[in-house]
Amino acid sequence: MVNTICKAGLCLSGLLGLLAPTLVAQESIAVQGGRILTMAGPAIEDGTVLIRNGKIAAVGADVKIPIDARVIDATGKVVMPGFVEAHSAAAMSRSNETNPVVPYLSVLDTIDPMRSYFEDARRNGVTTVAVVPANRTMIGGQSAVIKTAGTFIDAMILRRDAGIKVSLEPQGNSSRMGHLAALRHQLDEAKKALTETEKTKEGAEDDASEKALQVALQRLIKGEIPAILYCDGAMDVGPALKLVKDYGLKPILVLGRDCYKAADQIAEAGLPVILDANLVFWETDPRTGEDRKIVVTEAFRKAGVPFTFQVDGSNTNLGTSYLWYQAATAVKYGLPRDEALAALTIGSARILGVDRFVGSLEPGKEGDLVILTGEPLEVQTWVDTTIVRGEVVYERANDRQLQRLLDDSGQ
Amino acid sequence: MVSSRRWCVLAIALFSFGPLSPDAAAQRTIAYRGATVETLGPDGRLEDATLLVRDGKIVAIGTEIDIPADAHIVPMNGKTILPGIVDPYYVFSVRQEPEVPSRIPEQFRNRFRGRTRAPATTGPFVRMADYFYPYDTDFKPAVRSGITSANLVAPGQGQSALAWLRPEDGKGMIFQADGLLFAAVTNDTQSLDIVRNGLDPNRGSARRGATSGRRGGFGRGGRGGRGGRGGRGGAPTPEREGEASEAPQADESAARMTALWKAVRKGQQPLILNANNAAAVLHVLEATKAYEDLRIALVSTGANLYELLDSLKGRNVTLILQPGLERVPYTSDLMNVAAMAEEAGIPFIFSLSINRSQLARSQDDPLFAVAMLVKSGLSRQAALHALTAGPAQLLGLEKTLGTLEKDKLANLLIFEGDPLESGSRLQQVIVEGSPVHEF
Amino acid sequence: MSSEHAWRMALHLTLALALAAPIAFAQEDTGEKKETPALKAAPITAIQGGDVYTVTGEIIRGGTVLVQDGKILEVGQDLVIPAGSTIIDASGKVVTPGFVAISMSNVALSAGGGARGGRGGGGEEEPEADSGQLVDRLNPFDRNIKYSLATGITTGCVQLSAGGRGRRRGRDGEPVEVFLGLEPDPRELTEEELLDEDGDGHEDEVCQCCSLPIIPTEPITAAPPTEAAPRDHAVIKMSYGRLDSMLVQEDAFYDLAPGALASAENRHEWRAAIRGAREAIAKAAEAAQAAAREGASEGRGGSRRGGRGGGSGGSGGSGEAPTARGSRGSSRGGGSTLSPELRKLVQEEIALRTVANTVDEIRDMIALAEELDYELVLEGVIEGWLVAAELGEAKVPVIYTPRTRRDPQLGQEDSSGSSIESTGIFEKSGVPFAVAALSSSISLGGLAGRDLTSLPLEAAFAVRGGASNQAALEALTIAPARMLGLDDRIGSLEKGKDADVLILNGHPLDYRTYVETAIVNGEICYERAKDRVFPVFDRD
Repeated sequence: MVNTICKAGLCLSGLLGLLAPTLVAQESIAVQGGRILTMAGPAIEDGTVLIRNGKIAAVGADVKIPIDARVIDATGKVVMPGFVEAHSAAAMSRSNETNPVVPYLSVLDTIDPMRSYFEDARRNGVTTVAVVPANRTMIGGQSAVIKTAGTFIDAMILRRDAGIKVSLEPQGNSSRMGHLAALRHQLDEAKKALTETEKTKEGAEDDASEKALQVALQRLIKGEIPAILYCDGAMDVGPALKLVKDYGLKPILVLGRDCYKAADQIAEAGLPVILDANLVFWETDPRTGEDRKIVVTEAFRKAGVPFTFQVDGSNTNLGTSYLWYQAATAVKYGLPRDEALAALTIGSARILGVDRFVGSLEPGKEGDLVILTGEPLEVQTWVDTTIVRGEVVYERANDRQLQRLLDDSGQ
Repeated sequence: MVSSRRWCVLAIALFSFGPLSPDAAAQRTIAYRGATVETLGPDGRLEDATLLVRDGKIVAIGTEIDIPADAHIVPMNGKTILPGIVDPYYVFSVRQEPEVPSRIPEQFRNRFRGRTRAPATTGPFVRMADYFYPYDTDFKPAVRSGITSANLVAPGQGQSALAWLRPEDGKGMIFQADGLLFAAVTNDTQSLDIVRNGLDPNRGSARRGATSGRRGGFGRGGRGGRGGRGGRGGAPTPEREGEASEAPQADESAARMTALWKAVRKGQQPLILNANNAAAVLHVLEATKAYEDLRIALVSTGANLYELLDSLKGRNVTLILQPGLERVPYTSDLMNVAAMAEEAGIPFIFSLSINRSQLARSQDDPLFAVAMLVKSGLSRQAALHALTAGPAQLLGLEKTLGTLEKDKLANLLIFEGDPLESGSRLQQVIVEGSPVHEF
Repeated sequence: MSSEHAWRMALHLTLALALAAPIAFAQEDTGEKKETPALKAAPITAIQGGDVYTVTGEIIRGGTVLVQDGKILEVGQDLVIPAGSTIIDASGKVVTPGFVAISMSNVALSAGGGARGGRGGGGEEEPEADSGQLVDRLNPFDRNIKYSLATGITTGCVQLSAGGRGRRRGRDGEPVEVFLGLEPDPRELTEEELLDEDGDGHEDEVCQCCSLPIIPTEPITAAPPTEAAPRDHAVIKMSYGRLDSMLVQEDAFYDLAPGALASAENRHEWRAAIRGAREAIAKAAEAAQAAAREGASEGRGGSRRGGRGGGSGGSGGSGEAPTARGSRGSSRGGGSTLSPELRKLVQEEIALRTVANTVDEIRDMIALAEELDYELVLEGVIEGWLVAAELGEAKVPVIYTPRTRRDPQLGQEDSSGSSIESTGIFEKSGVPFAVAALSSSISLGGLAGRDLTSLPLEAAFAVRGGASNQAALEALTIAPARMLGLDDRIGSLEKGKDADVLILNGHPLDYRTYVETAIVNGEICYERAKDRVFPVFDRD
């Protein structure tokens, strides 16, 4: 009898020991009283979002708040999912800009979580970002989708193999023809190697980096990992689409400013795109010398192509440094507001293939949200609080960079 | 009889409702009806108001205006009308980044990174009206940003010219060739003396023969470097001597300069001063202490301007600011210098064109930086005033520009909605009643 | 008397006493108040509670320093602080006078346009007075001022140009575009100037791998003869943000570059110059007397005496020495004009300051000074420890860098090279010394602890060399003040002196000490927590 009790006791303590990490739970957070834009249904006035263990536990008008939850009052404010930035190279420190074909390099090795990019991201409500090599190398490396808060990169990863960056912009002295030929050559080699290994099923005697290269490229052409294709100009879109067809790539299109001319072509292919930060510009007609105003978002909207946005640097005084501003520009010229907000959240998440985890306030998704002092797409709105995976990572009241501004103005 | 009258009526009708050419428009009365008008004047902001324009002028403005029968009515549907932006400091010349001289050894070349050259402080006196050549300049970013009139200046010193930003008029853009006196100072004697000698023409001669006393070798002749002449042994340099005794143009220019400085000294017009750093501002304040009537419009792009605000109180100084949040030097903190000036009671006005790259990149939303200032504490009224009425007053144009009031010129900006809201497009820029830019 | 009654009486008594006492004290207070200067219109600041190192007097524990109108009103213990004063609490801290940096460069001034000449044309001198020119270059917003204050430096003798060479003039003598900023525009410097970063006239050797200047350690050799031209300098207060009263004095020394008096030829000219100066002064005095006696117009006397046409004939009428060396300016032959610095030197208002490192150089300079009868301040004095007695006898103060290490000559290990014990030896021989850092400018790159911000550390090394704490502290304060002839204004915390005060979080010579607050001319110009030049953290 005693023995049984002892054994039971031991078993129990063992179980408790195993469960200990989960029992020592993160604090729960309940964001209460705000207008909730879930991105998965109609807005909820005066609702509550409950976050537990880093994930969204409940969203609604009548959510029961547990006694131990930290309550954040969002009355009079707007609550929405944290923004998802679909393409950024700013988080990296000394990334690869020179080696032309390195699909096995990963951005995870060069992301510096202490960079000011992350602080600015949290300040602007961006909770998830796809870090992608820049446009300067042919096959620049592997991208990753990460959170914008954390000390070490390992704890910040959301999706490791988010894509391999392929740029159609020729570099240095190379010509467009040469660049494309070289690219096709690489992909052909990979295709050949793939069919060979499938036949022989033998490991190659190649050196390690050659092997790594092959492995990475093979994943690309098998469609296991998306190809993030950068098209600099409209004339690159055709070849890009052809590459997709010929090699069975799973594409994510990143466009340069002038690609708006190929909007119909892209619409035919039925692909969503990530737009350049330059959304409105004036083009001079080379023959008449007259200027024509181009609004990129309108070109794509009219063609029926879903899109999301990029930002351009971090100049506080330029609108194009803010994701919300890019969305506001699109709305200014005709995009429905809801579509613009969706583009910033669930739309980007879908393009990146992480919409199962982020992009909307639904139970089971990561606890990423942002509390705004007003309408999301208005310039007078501040980000009040940013929460990533259930942790408050930014509060405007404690933001040193804004201290002087807010003290002086008594806001 | 009847038929000819009918023809007349028909003809008149056709003229009334036919397409409106700019010339015709000028002669017609145009009624902008149902607009939100930011008058920037005593009437403040009017909702659902009507603005009547004729012959390039505002003939009536208010909420209960009688619209003449022959007026061409433009329904505004709640759009906002703002006075045209007046830019008090439009630098008309491109400053070039100098090359690194080849004699500089390799190891020191990195010292040149990121340095900008100070504006030339001691060039010849430039009269902008004579210097102005608009044909190879791109005014479009300025026009698209809503700037309707500008005070044209150059780096260095000279006399400005006032112009409408209507590039198609070419040299006819200038509507006032005799503009204001402008100068650039830094903290050295050469440039400060331009101000000192300008305000006190007798100063130079009193000093001549006074000590300069720099000694070379144990008390002997002037060294290079200070006080002495630069770097040569005793021989005079003929090419420099001859400066003053050039053609009669020099005399005319000198006379003009003297007259301008006199007007400035008496406070009849302001002195537009570009101070390269905060130290120069302190030196100028010191040098101009005695002149009570003197008015200064100060452009200071130095980062330490915010530390000077106390020194500017009670002096007749208006700040010309580049709109936008700035960083507190040596930190990453942001500050709102315009709001700080507002709180300290120092008058300020904006120039959108001081930072050309920002002007070029924000053409689609030219007031974004201003909106950021309002967001972080600047009052909306002060912000809009600093773009329009404030600069007009400085330039002496307050009778005709800067606010939307009866008998003033019809320089208008028509915004889709609130001009400080990013979602609101600038749709039309009108100068003297005629559209200059439309979307 | 009943006990109750007694108790009540006692109670009354104690109450009465209790009431009376404050009144009594108060009367004392008002009495004292009448003694201390009454509250004038200008507000008073009181720095109270710290250990006050006055330097010239004793250390006052828990003392108070009263400041008014930019001057020290009173220093003492238990001072009564007038109502309405601003109180700065320095309890637990140390209060010292601001440090005086006797060698400073690239601080508080913007690079002046060197060649003003040419605008007026040919042989004319510039019409501006020199003080006008220097004052205009002052930059009270120079970031280096903050770094200086963070080190504790409140006054500095700032070098304006390297010896003899006219810096910042264009290569062809053309007027030079002014560049503003912390450093002179490198575009305007010649290659030699670029290579001489600390402006001491010698090209800095630079390490191959890291491009930092190498501090030489090989045996000293005497400086080769150089151009004999006095170097410009000015004594400047580090009053950040305030222009008025920033310039204390131009030319506190007759400052000669190393080697200016090295060769026989130089010395010959020097003797001639001094002689000529004395003659000119004597003549001028005679003429003035004659004029006074005759009651003639001042004009004649004045023009002779003033003699500020500048730039010619310093050999006082005895004909021009037409050597090219140093004579850059016009040579207006003949005039009996006399440079003001030379006059001040000869009349013993200022001292000659030059560099002498070897024993021979030091002895020569002392001899020359005695022969020609002027005050001397020697800089460098690396081998000064060997002739300390002579320096002491000749009453020559020195400017010394304790961390200098120069190897002795081979075979002369006991009689050449540097010695760590120099400062102890100087103190014993009664040679006042001021401390200069290894570099006179502020440099935030490379190895820490070698530039001007290491000045207090340098003074601490003086203690390592055997000097007392007091001597080391004086080396930062009153000793340089005396050399500059400004000890009536700076260098110690005494009534009537300028209110240049430091509040430190430890002993000034302790390497862990930071400056918490720096006050210059009575205004707070630096606060460690606000200015964020150094990190702010709690030590415990």
